[in-house]
Amino acid sequence: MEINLPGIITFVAFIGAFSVMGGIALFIYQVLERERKIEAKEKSTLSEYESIIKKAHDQAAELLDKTKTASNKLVSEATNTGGELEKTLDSTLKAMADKHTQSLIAEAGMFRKDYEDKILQMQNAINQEVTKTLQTFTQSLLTKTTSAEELVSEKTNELMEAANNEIEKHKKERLEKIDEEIIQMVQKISNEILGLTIPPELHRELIVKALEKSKAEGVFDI
Amino acid sequence: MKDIINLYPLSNYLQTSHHIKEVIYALDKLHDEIFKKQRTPLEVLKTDVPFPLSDSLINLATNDYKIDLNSSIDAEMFFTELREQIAQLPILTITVAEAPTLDLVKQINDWVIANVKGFAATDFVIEKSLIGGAIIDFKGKTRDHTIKKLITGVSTLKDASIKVISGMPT
Repeated sequence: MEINLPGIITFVAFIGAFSVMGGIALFIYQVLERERKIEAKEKSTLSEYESIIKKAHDQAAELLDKTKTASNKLVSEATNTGGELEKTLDSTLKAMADKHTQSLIAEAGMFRKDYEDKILQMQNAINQEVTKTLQTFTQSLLTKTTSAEELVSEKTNELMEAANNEIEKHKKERLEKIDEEIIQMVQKISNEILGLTIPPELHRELIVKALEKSKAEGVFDI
Repeated sequence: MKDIINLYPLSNYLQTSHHIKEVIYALDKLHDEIFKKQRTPLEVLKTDVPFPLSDSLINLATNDYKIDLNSSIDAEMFFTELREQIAQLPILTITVAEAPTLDLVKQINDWVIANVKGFAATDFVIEKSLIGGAIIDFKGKTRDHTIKKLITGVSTLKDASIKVISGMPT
């Protein structure tokens, strides 16, 4: 059996080219189909958007009409009740002013009372301080005066005592001097008279007698 | 040694405070030499202490108190006690108008030995103004038995008279 190779190759190439073309055609179809769907969706969306915008515009117009009607009504009512409102406002303001005035008067009274109390306290404190200072000063003055008097008295006594002591001392010195002079005179005379006449034996006897007398007086007692 | 040492054998060397100082000086020297222990106390007494004090000390120690003077310890104790007693001797001070003669000093020392209990040294002080008699001073007690005192007594009467006249209390 003879194989028709070129025919097979041609057949295979034909089949391959057909397959490639089929794939390309399928791809193009799919792309076109997707674009179509997107376009349809865009159209649907735009339509929906326009519908919403329109609906919103209608609602806004309706709201504006309602507002206008309400405003006209309000303006009308306000015009009718303006006089009463003004009267009410005046009376309210007057009441508030009266209340505020009373409050101010009360506060001013309290402030004045506090101020007067403070002034009174300060006055009392100053009076007490002045009294205390005066008392201290008076006491100090009295003490110093007494001390000065005592000092003067003490000094006077000291001077008197010193003067008396000086007089006594002088008197004593004078008497002692007179006494000493007399004793010296007597001793001089005695020495001149007795010294020449007392012999050594008598001296010895007088000394031994002095010892004996001292013994008799207990000088040597243990 | 706590016994009281009889000082009468040494009385000739303890007549005055001056004598006492000399004896104490000798005893101090003896003490120093004994302390050196180079010689016996007996040797020191014989060579370093003046005669006749040395003999008197030797006799007092050996005869009266039977001290072995070849023993440093016994001798040291004895002479230390002796020095202490001599240093504590009372002094009888006699103030007189004229310097005493040797006979008077001896007579008074004899009197003191005979009449004063224990033992006392005697010092003489000269004061011419006393004229005669003596001032006796012993252990803080003083008695004035002088002619000056008699004259002063007369003068005291005069003082009293003056004070009475001048209105002063006597």
